Formats: sequence, structure tokens, C-alpha cells
Amino acid sequence: MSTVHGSEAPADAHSAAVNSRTPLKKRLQHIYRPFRQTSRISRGLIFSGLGVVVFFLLVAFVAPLLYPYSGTQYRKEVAPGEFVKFPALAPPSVEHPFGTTRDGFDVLARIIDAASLAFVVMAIAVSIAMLVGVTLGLYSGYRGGKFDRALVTVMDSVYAFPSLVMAIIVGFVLGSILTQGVFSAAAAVAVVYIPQYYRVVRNHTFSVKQEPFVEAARSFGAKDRTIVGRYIFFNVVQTVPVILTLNAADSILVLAALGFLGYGVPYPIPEWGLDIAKATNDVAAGIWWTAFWPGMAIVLLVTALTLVGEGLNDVVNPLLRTRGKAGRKIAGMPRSRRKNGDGGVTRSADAVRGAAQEKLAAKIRDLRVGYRTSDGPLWAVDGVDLNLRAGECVGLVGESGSGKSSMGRAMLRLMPPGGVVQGEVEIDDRDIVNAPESTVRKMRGEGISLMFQEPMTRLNPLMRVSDHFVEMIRTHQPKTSRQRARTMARDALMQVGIPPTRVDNYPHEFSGGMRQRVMLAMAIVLTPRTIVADEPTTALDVIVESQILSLLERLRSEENVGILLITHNLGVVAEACDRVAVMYAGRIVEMGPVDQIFNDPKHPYTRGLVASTISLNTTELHSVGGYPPNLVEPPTGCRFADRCAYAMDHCTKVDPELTTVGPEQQAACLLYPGAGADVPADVRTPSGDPQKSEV
Amino acid sequence: MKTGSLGRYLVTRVLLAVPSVFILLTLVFLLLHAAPGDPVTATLGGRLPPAEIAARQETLGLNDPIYVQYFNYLAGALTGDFGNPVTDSRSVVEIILETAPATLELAAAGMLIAVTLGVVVGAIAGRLRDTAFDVGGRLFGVVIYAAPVFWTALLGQLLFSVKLGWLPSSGRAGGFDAPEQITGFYVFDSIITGDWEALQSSLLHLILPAVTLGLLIGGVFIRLVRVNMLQTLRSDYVEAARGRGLPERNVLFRHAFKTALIPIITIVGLQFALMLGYAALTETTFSWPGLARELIDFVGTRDYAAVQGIVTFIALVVVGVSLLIDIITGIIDPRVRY
Amino acid sequence: MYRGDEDVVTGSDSDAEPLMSVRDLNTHFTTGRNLLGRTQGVVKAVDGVNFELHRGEVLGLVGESGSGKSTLGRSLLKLVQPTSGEIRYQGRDLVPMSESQMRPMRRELSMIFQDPNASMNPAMTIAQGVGHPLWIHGMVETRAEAREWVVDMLERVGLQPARNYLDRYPEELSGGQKQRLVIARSLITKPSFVIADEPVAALDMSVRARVLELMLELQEELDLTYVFITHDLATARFMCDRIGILYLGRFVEYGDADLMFSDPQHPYTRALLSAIPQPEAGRRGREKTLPRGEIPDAARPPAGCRFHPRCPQAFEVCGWEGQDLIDALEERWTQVDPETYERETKLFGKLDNAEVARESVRFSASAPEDLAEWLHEHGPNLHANVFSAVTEVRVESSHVLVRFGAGPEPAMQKVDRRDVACHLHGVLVRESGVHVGGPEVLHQTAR
Repeated sequence: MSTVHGSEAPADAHSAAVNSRTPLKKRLQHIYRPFRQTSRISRGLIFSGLGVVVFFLLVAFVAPLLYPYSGTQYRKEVAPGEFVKFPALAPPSVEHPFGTTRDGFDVLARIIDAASLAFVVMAIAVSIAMLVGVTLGLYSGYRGGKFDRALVTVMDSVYAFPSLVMAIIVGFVLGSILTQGVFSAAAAVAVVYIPQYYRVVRNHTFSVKQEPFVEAARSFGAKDRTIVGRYIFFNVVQTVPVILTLNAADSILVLAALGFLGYGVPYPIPEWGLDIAKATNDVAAGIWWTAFWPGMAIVLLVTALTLVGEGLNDVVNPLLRTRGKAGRKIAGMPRSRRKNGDGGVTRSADAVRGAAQEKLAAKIRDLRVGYRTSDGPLWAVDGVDLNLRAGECVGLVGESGSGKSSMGRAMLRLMPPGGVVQGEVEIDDRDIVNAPESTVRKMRGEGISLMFQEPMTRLNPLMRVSDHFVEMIRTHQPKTSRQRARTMARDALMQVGIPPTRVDNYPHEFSGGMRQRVMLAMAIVLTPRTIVADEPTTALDVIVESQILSLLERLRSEENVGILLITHNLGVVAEACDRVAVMYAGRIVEMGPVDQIFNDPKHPYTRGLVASTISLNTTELHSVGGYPPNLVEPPTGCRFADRCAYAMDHCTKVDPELTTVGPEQQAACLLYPGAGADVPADVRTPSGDPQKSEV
Repeated sequence: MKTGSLGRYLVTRVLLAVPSVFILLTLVFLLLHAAPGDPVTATLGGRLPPAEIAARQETLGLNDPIYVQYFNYLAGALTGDFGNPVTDSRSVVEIILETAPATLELAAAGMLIAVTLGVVVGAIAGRLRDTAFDVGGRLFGVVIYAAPVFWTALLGQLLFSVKLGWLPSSGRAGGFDAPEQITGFYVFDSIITGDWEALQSSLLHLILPAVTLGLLIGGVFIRLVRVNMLQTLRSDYVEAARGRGLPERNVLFRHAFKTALIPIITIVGLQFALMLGYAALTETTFSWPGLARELIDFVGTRDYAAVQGIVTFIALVVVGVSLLIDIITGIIDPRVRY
Repeated sequence: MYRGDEDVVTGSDSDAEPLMSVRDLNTHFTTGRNLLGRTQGVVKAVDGVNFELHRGEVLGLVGESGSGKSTLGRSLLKLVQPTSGEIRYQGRDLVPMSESQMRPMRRELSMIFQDPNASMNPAMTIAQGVGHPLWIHGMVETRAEAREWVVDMLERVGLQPARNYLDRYPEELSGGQKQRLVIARSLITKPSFVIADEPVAALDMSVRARVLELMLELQEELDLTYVFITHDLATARFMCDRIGILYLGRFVEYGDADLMFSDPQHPYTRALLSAIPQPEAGRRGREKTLPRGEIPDAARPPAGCRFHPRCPQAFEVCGWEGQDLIDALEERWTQVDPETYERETKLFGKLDNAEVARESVRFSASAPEDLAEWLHEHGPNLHANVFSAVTEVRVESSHVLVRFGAGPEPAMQKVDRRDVACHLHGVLVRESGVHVGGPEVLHQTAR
């Protein structure tokens, strides 16, 4: 996604002058956007399907001009006034490439003629059904109320009834009122499809109606008509092409069925289904070509239309869009930014200390986490070192795009398809990055646990809470009896404040805060030494948040667990963490004990972050200008340089490394010696509390 | 939010089913009476003197005002008396009782095949997204649905009956081969009475129609199950389950698949109606003595009583299946109970 | 004890006519539908709110989820129809107005929405989306004119060069930029009154300040009056002149912002302030007294003072009711050892079988005498102060009945230049409230 930056050069003043319309090209680009995001396979489906449909269109409307015979022709003129009849039931030959029928018609000719009939019926049927169904759906979905409820009941009843039977009855009825023919067949198909359009459009309208932008339109006084027309319609209409193509496909099948049963167009008008019916007796005699070719035509055209529909469905439905598989696979060898052996290589204090004897709950070295995108690989985490001691709580702070969320999952190797983890992650002295899947699986929950952000959707709605525990416990410790597992579950839940009377409830019977407690209980029940809490309280109210943080703290001290607390909230860090690491654009830019980081942060970004955090004592607003960099093509040098008030000329050329700036405090900034470049003599370094002094 | 009681949920669903049936019956009535003409004229017109025709019309109540006819029809539906068709000596109810088991047997066999095929292939395709299996499975699903059932049936007959001679090309198992009729379901009856020859004949006759039907609906299922699997596999609790170190097998079956099952069950219920529709075509092609085939014939003769009666029955079956689905959903999913 | 007729809530010290004055506003929703389509419950999302707002002021509506702050905001603009009460804008009451009467007023009354990603119509370009209100209110006649207005507004909100943005679609912008679009759209008709519903909650920290800065600048430039809805007390303190703390649809405390933060009077306000994590050194491992539990379901709010089940200072008239005893027992059982748990659950039988009412609880007990004895002994030691309100523990043949005394809902009273709804400052009954106990509650004498 390209972000429009305010600092772009101003466009040509003349061309951008009082230009009253959005250029068509822009609109088309906008419509094409979702296509770019689908997988190649889906796009392939759409285009190959379209190709076949176009081929059939040509067959239907161009071929009759080229092919010598017509579908109802049973003889040809060899000389003026002299006719020769076609042989009956002749097998395929040069003269009649698909053979002839029992009545002496050319099979290929009938196929061609029937094609145009198919398209005509399709067009009529789809138009009627779409017009009625979409209009009713929009109106019903927007209006709601009794009308909507009544209409939904009626439509559902019709929809539930076998559509083919309904089509037969309707076709028959219309045929006797209007005369049997193309229109009545088409109308029968249409009537049967109206409920489908209605349902989809109505449901979609219903959900779009709840979107904030619709409410916004009401808030500035838009009338219902306008809202439906400009706000809802264009957002709902995306689903219509899918139904439309599937409807078109089905209409051919229904037409064929009607034809087969004799309720479509009358013989001898060519129609694929009708022809198959006529060929029934031929089959008993072992003759295949009268039945085979018409059926083949149906199969090909319907398949093509359906493929287009399926492909469009993949495009429109955001849940089905490919994630992670677009773009090239990520190369194996990382470009290392740490040179070995040369002087001046400073590894982070954590990396150095790790070499010493302390027993670490988790050890991370040069961690990189990458994703495949259609624009190339994106390294969300680009070289991170971190130590987590037992019983310590380290905060990992960053804003969106910093990479902090990827860190948590990477530590359990919970990557989405196409995601890659490189580097070293050792949990309890065992490597996770390169271990076989079974080893990693075993460690999840037992060696290291992950608490997710959204507690509401993290539990299986069909399973009782106690069952979640029992399943997990018995997976990791198979010898545990059910009874024992239940007791363990109950104890863990009690520790987090859930009464034993509620242990067997279903997830939907708990509130958000309680569900998060349940998640916490599951994270500790197997006594891991490391817990990664990924924004555990972001979705919760402040009092519940405080309760959960107190819980975490108690567990940490009682069980001596190492906690990595990932959050964007500096207040939470100040309260819950011993040390904090600040992430920006995939790297740690500053790290140190909590009090120092708040009292005297050294990295300009940290200062900006602390300064812009609004607290109860804020008297002045500060912000950090600019935007985080695009990580598909990260800038050279320091990634924060373009937003930094202290930036020097060489900041865009040299990549700063973490260097010591205080007792146990490190920052990756060229303002300080040891970061990768000499520090100019007259440079001004920031100091003090950013909320009180200048940033 | 407390979990509602299963009982209350079930009662509610049953009560809500009533309006659906009512709507369908009315719809059918209106449709049939919209067409000009009437059953007597349609079948016997031109063969009997006008006075005779008029007399028959009178007996059948065809000259009564429309709302009287509607009322009688509803009353008949409630009491189970649908009257008699014009051209058949059996009463409508008798026709239904005779032919419904054949259709239901075919539908059940077809559904079995369809569900097995669809669920297995669809679930695997959902799991192995964008692999050859996935694309192949989807393509198969699309193509098999695109092939008209009567065409596949004919080709099947051509191959297996005419050319290879392995399977009978039509019929159910008549004459000496038919088992003693207890329920009307030949396979079932054969097993109960221990009549192995009848069983063999019934099965052989059943295979071709059931497979034809089953493949078609199975193709639809493959796509639907796949989509549901994809959505479920993306859900938050599946990710959380993996995060707890559960083996992929467990994650797939207990968490993803089981939850995906709920919409799948609903889909199966809905497709049952689709199947009944296709059964009409299959029965015609294979001369299977089922209810749907009778219906087609009666529509042609505009036989109100018979058509209404059969359609009512079908509507009831559809509603019954949908009710069954609701019940199963209510048992599996604790969230939907009130 | 005094009977409070109306919650008296004062505005600022200005004598000028308030721009907006809200009296006893109620917005109730019906929930659930049973078989016959009849609704089953009522959620009183806004339950008797009063305030006044003068031109140029910023009023903060602060609350957690379920507090009703969003519904209140929407009720003020009639995006949701209030059930009763008065909303006087420049003297005219908005509540009885029909939508077509409201429409012209929407030029002056405006709303900034919370979710920047979903508040702009994705099917409209920026020029169309931001400029749409102009057309609705007939403020422009040609498309060119509208685009000029939009350019002007975009520049004011800091999106430059504005012409570059006109033909783009909102999805191409970042979160902070999108929020500026929302602001631009809401201010393009030059309104006087703006409701901002969590305008920065969805944005990163470093971006929030910019947007808030923008809002303050625009307030000065365009002489705006804001109602600022948020759950973040820190932001509220910074932005607002006066603040009302909402809990389950009502104000529990209302007054000048600085005063409220330096000296909170209501236990809930105190709890909020104590719970907020502050980004400062020295906060590690600090002492916190947090209220227990979570915000109750808005469909069944507690009787008496809504906050009483969680309040660390609740006493006997605060509205203790049956359910509180059940909850207290469950809480106790999270902290005792298994044997005690077994023993005590046997005494009480299945809690689901207990008949729980407002004024009483009836436990079915196999050994009622023992149960009564246990209650007398352990009841007062329960963490929640439930037992202070118990007037009677009666032993019946196979049941034990526990009766509660009067627990009226508190009305707003003036405490130290603020309005607080809390009996700790003197028992004052809200007439239209939900009490534990019948009409005699209103006639009880004060403690």
C-alpha cells in the first residue's frame, strides 16, 4: 500500500487546477485494486473462464455466419431444385464433424444454434432476477423492521424449496399463459433465482448499514435515498458479479433441464437439453455422438462461467484473499549486517552478557522475521538481540509497524504461511528456530506460552473452558488422568480469580476480562518459564487492565517466570516491567531499566515517544512528525533519520548499532560513541525527562 | 450470557417451521391456479362431451370460487387427504406412499456419497490451499456440477450398461428381484428379510443413479466445505490452539473441522432440497419409480390435486430436514440455544 | 436523609445562556425477542443525564465500556432517538424533532467518529466524501466550488498539498491521515457544536498528539464547542474543561476537570485514577487498591448505587442485594483450599438452585441450621460488605432465607463544587431510581 506523504512535491499547479472530475483512470485503478491482492491461481481461474465464455460467444454469434448448415436443416441443395437429405444417425465425419441426429439434423449446427439461445435466455433470466432481487434486497436490508422480517421468511421458504421443481412448475405455468418458448423458460429461471440475489444483497446491505461511514452520513444530514444510493449501493454491489456469474451458469443448467423434460422450447428448435432428451434412445443402441456433444457444450460453458464466479468470489471475499503466498519466496541466507571479526563491531550488551553464565528463560540473537509480499520480502523484525531472565519482566514497546507483534509469534514459531524466522531463539537453552516441528510444538505451552491480544475470540466456542485445559494438559503430559487434569485446571483458574463453579462454562458465558483471565490461566497451567504477553490488556477497560497486570506481577514473582510484555502503552511498561526495549522499524533502538528510560531516554525516538504519551500530568502536547519507513525497501542508514530532530548528515549513510549510553542502558544512535561513527565535537545530545524538557 | 435450554430451542424451531410450510403451500396453489385451463380439460378435453367435462369439473370443485378451493386445499393438507388425480385410479396419498420411499432411498444414497466426497475432499483442499490437490479438487467440483445430471446419467448408462454390461441401465429391482415390501426401502427391506438376491439386485440398480446424483451434489459440497474450512483455519482460536502446542491433527479435527461442521451441516440441509430437484431428472433418465418422476408427469397434465399433494409432501420433507438440521446444530453449538 | 427531586448539575460560572442544556436524558433499548416477537428486556444505556455546556467549552464524557458514553453522544445528535428528556440547543428542544426538522440543524451539529478506517465511504474519492455535507446543506452550487472548499479544509487539517489528495481514495492514506479526513468532513459546514467520539483511540501514540493539537487549533479558529467522549482519563484531563464520569448510563461525578483529578470524590473516580498506568519512573510495583470484579451487564444493572458491588467503601445502604451474596461466595471460593470448598458447597447446595431476588436470597439447604450458623459467623468476613445490609437470616424447614435492608439509589448532590452520586456524603435518594426495598425506602431516616 502506498501511503500518500504530505511531503511530496506539489503537483503541477496548472493540471491540478479547477479540474472538476476524478480522472477515469483513477477510478479504474481503484476498482482493479482487489485483483492485485488475490493469488495467481484465482486470477488464472477468472481469465481462463472468461476466455472460454468469449469463445462461446463467438460460436453463438459468429459461427452461424461461417458454418454452412443451420440447426433445423435436414437437407442441402446440391443443384438448383435438387435436394439431398442428410443421413440419419451418421457418425462424425468430415461432412458432419459431430455426426447427425435421428431426424437427420447436423449435430454441430444444432450446437451452434443452441448457443445463441443459451446466451439469450441467460441474459433475460439474469437481468430479471438481478433487477428484482437486488432492489428488494437493498430495500429490505436498509429498511429492516417488519417488512424485512416478513420478506426474509418468504424468500427463505422459496429458497429452501427444490429450485428445479419450482422452475418446472413456473416454466410450465408461464408456458401455458404466454406460450411455451424462450421467454417463459427464461422467466422461470429468473423467478427461481430471485431469492438468491435477495439473500446475498440483503445480508450485505445489513452489515454495511452498520458501518461507521453510514452513520456518519446520517450525522451530517444525508437522506435515506442518498445513503442507499451513494453509501450503501456501491459497497454492496461488489458481491453481485459473483452471484451473477453463478446465476448465469445455473440458468443454462435449468434451461437444459427444462428442455430435457420437455418444458423448454419446443422441438425442433435447437436446445442442448432437448437434444439430449432426444438422444436417450440412441444411447441404448450404443450411439454416443447425439448425446455427447450437446452435453459437452453445457459442461464447458457452465464450467467456464463458474470458474469466473469462483475467481471473483476469491477476489471479493477478504477472508479468502491470499495471505503470505504472493510474491517470491524469501531467500535463505540473510544479509548480515553484523560483520564478524572487524573492529568496531559492537554487539548489544544483552548479546555480550548472554555469553556469561546466567540462566536465561529466553535468549534471542539476531532474530529476523520476514513475510512475502507482492512487492518483495518484508522484514518486520530485522536483527534483534534480547535476553529474558527468569523472574524478570521485559517490556517490548513500539507503535504499529515496529515489528513487536511479529516478535511474540516468532518466539513460538507461529508464523503464517509464507512467513520466515531466522536467527537464534533459545527457550530453556533449546533452539526454536531450526528445531523440528514436533519439538517446537512440545515447547508451546510447556516451555513458553503466548497470551494473545483479543481474548474474546481465542477460545473454541464449542468447547467448555475445562475441556480446553484438559486437552492441553493431556497433550503435553499424556500420562495425566482426566481427573488430575481437571484439578490442575481448577487450580490455575482459581489463581486468576475464576471461581470453581464456573470451570465448566462455555466461553460465550464469560466477559472479556474473564476470558483474558482464562487465557492467562492456560498460559501458566503447565508452568512454563517464559510467557510472552502480546498486548494482553489493550482490548480491556482500565480497571480490568490493572487487575490483569497485578495478576501477571503476582504470577511472575510467585512462579519466577520470565515475561516478555509486548505493548504500545508506555504506562503499562512503566508499571509492569523491569526493563524495556523500544522497537522502531524492526529493530531495537533503545534498551534499559525502566526508570532510566523514563527519566533520561537517549534515543530521539524514545524521547519523542515518551514526550508524546499523554499522561495525567501532561501540560503540553508533543508529537513525532513524519511516518515510519516502508520495510519492503528500508532506507539506508538510520531508519529514524528522516523524522529526527538531531539528525546529522551521516545519519542516512551509516547504520547505527546499539551502544552503551548509561548503566545497563543502550541506544542505537550515532549521537553516541560506539554506535558506528565518530561523534562530532559540537553535537548536542538530548537529556533529561522528555516530558519536562525540550524533546 | 447463559446457555439456553435445548428443549426451549427445539420447540421454538418447530413452531417457526409452520409459517414456512404455509407459505410454500400458498405459493404452489397460486402458481398452479394462475395457469389457464384445468386438469379435466387438459387431459380429457376433446375426448369427452362438454357436458361430461362440466360435470367432472363440478365434482372436483373446480367451479367453486378461488378462496373456497384454497380453503379446501388447506383443509385437505391438514387432514392428509389430497384427493384423487384425474387420470390415475390411486388416490394422491396412495401415490405418495408408493413412490416416496423410492425417491427417499435414492436421495439418501446420493447424499451419503455426496457428503463423503464433499466433506473429505473439501476439508483436505481447504487445508492444502493452493496446492495441486486443492486446485484439482475445486476443478472437479466445478466440472461435475456443470455436467447436467441427465447427461452424466446417459453416459454412465452407455458405459456401464450398454458397453460393459456391469450394471442395469434402468429400473429399481422389479418382479422377482424385489424384496418383500416392508418399509419400501429396498436395501433396508432386503437386509431385514435376509433376502440376499434381492439385496444384490437392489444395490446394483441403485448404484448408477445414486452415484450420478451423489457426484453432482458432492461437487457442490467440495467447494462449500473448502471455503468453510479456509475461514475456520484462519480464525483466532485455531491460532491460539496451535499456540498451546496442540498437534496439527487435533487442531484440524477438534478445533477447525468441528466448528466448520456447523455451517456445513446447514449446507447439507439446504442441498437436500437441491437433491430432490435433481432427483426428478435422475428418476426420469433411469426410469426410477420415484415421486419426483410422478410429479413431472402430473405437472404436464395440470393435475392440481396430484401436484399440490406431492408438492406439499416435498415441502414437508424439506422443512423436516431443515428442522433436523436445526436440532443437530442446537445439540452441537451451545451458543444458539435461547 | 433528604429526598432529591432532581439531580442538580451546575454548569460553568458563566451567566450566559448555555449553548446546549440536557435535562434528564434517557435512552433505553429493548433487547431480545421471544417467539411472538415481543421484546424481553430493557437496557438503559443512558439513564438520567443532566449537564450544560457553554460556547467554547470542552466537556468530557469519560467512561469504560458499557458506560453508555457512545450512546449518549449519539443521543445528543439524535442518531439514536432518546426515550425521554430534553436536549436544548440554543434554546430549542431537539428530542421531539422529526428527522426532517433535525436535518437543517445538522449543519451546525457535527460528529467526529472513532474508527478512521471505517468512517469514510470507501466508494467515494476524498473530494466527494469530504465535500458531501456541502451539497446536502446547499452550501455550494458547482462541483468546482465544492472542490475549493474541500481543498481549503484539507489544508487546514494539515493534509498538504491538498490538491494531491482530492482524487485519491481514503484507503490509500495512513490511519492518522484518515482521521484528519474525518475531521475535515465534520468541520466543513462550519458547525458550532462538535461531538468527538474517541477521536484518537485507534491511533498510535505519536500520532495522537498531532490530531489532538489539530482539534484544539481548530477550536480556536472556528470557535467550536466540543463534547469529547473517551475512556482515557489522561486525554480527558488535558482536553476538557469539565468532565462527567459515566457508569452504566449515569454520571457518578461531574465537575471541573482539574478539581476532579486533584481531589476525586466518588470511589469509582478514585478507582479509575488509581488504575491508570502512568508512563513515569517509579511506578513499578506500586500499591493499588482496585475495585473487585468487572462492569456488570448493562441489561441488569445492580440496584441501589450501581457501583456498590465493586466499591471498596460501600456500606449498608448502598444497595446490597441477593446476587451480591452469591458473587461474594464465589469469590470466597477462589481463595479457600479444596476441603473448605467442598464443605461449604455442601452446605449451600448448588448455587443455581438458590432463589435470588433483590431483597432476599433463599438457599435450599439440607442442614439449614448449620448454614445459618455459618452465615452468621463468616458472612461479615466476606470481602464484599454484603452482610452489613442483611437484616435477617431466617431458618425454614429446608431453606434458609437471607433478607436485605433498604438500599436506595443515590441522587446527585453537591460536594465541594462538584456533583457526586454517592451516599458516603449523605444518603440522598434518587426518586426515579432502582432501589432495594419498596416505597418505605424513601421514608427511612438518615443514619
